[in-house]
Amino acid sequence: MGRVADPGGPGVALPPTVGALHVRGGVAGTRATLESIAAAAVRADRAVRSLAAAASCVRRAAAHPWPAAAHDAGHAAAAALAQVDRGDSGLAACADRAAALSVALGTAVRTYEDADRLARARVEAIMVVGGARTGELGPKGWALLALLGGRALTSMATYVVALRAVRCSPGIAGVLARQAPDLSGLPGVAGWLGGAVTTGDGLLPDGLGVPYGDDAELTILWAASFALGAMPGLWRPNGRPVEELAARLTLTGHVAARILGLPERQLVVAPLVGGSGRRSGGGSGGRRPGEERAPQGVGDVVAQVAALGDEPQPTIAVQRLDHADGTRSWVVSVPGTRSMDLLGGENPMDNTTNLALMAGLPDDMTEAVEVAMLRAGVGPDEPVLLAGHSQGGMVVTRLAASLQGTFDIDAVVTAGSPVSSMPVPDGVAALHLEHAQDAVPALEGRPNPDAANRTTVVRDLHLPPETFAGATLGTQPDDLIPVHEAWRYAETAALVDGLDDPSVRGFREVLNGVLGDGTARVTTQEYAVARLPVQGPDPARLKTRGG
Amino acid sequence: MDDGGVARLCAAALAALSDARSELVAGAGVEWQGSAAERYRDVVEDLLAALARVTRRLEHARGLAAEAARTAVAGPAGTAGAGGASWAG
Repeated sequence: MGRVADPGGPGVALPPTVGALHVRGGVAGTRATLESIAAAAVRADRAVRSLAAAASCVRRAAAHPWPAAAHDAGHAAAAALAQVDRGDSGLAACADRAAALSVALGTAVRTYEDADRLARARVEAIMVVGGARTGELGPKGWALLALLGGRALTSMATYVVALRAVRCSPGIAGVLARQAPDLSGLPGVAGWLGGAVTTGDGLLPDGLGVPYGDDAELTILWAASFALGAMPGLWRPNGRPVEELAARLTLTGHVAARILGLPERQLVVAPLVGGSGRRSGGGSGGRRPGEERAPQGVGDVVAQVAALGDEPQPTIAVQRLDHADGTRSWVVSVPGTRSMDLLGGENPMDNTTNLALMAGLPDDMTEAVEVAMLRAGVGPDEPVLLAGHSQGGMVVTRLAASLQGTFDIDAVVTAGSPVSSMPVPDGVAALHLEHAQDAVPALEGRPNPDAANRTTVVRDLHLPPETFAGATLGTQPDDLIPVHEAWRYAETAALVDGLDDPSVRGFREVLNGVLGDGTARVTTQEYAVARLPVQGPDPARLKTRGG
Repeated sequence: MDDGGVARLCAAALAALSDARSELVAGAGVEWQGSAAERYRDVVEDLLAALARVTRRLEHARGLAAEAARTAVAGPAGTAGAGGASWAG
């Protein structure tokens, strides 16, 4: 758990309750730790070889025959050389200790990797196969399971209410029950039920909420496998049910659009010109050189993404930073889903794109951002930071890989995005922001990889309200939507800016290499994106559909 | 092998010892936190201390070997070059 540094007092840490941020991965993550241990094992192995070479030299020297003229002196030298190699503190013993160290380090790495992989793989396999078999049962089987499940839930609910009644009672039993610790932190169903019994006031729990974190990921795997099992035909469970379901739904959407006679559409990426303000609701974009403040941290970057979500039409932004030393860098911002459309309508920031991204199929938004970057004049050697919220995060993560060789992508920031199965190339540093209660990042059914170049920061929004820089931040989510909002992630990103964690510091170094010292001259070009009918209306009259 | 060879072997051993110590120091400097990392560094520290003692003994032995080599070349006092020298192990 990282400590959050107080911005008003360097070196002063805020109380632990403010540490609602959990950091995983990055240069200090488990994978990086394992890589460090492996590197140490290599060093120890080299030390063993060097010690073996030294021992060989010493033995040969000790066995050297001396002439009679130097008998006494030679004997003394030989005796001294023999002492070097002998005994518990001799060279041979040191070589054995180094060898044992090398073996122990290598074994530790292999054991941890195997255990970690095996534990997670077993649980995932259970969820995938269980979901598929349940899906294959068909409607009668589902009805039977629902009946049995309903009876089990009713029993559990009865116990929960009974225990809460004891908790609310005035007697000694009630007093003792109210002293029970909060059990909502237990894993899985135990935490779910434990929280229902031990938290809140009143006879009924405040709400069981929805599973999140690991529970959400496993639930997603089960649900995707269930859906595939329920579909006509035999589905063989494999390790990628979410991707496969997304691919089938994408194909279904295309077929449905043709059957319904929906028009063929082409992607349009149009630069916005003119403009009357930077980031305000309803404000329009355009080229405004020199009027903006350069972003200075993750908070500013994510805030720029959030502001794009407030634009009246689907918009992406390519921001040029001209630094005092004559160099140039870029920040590309991509907001999230704006439309639930599954049939490839006018708004490309829709579920059609979401499904294509999750399935690993070509999508319109990835193409749109690449076109925008080319039109903006991003140079092949100029550092680029890509940032996105939700779908936008998936788009920029995909671009980080696909644009290798075209642009110099140095860093990626995602907020609330399911990117666990999307690779991030070596040489690109990624920061993934998630909210523990946000189910969207869990939609791929797996946590983000624990890689040295991928840092995931998860904020738990269930902690008490916290004070940061004098502002009170409400952290009790009213429902699911605010936990996924871009502005909520901008708030989290601002917290991360003050986080004193080695992995976050590692990312920050790369980020600052793109953003500079905050004095760059800023020019932002915004682009509207749309799918217009091939023989449709004038692209200048772009309009959005409700998302 | 001439008598200078022993000193050269000792020098080679000292160089290899120095390499080994450098590798262990580099290994102890990797990014790794926690109680296991502390135990690892303790082990490396002990090993480095032992290798430092070995190095001192080896340097002493090299000095003795160099002295023996000079004696072998000069011979016992007054007998240098007279008759053949006999070799003893």
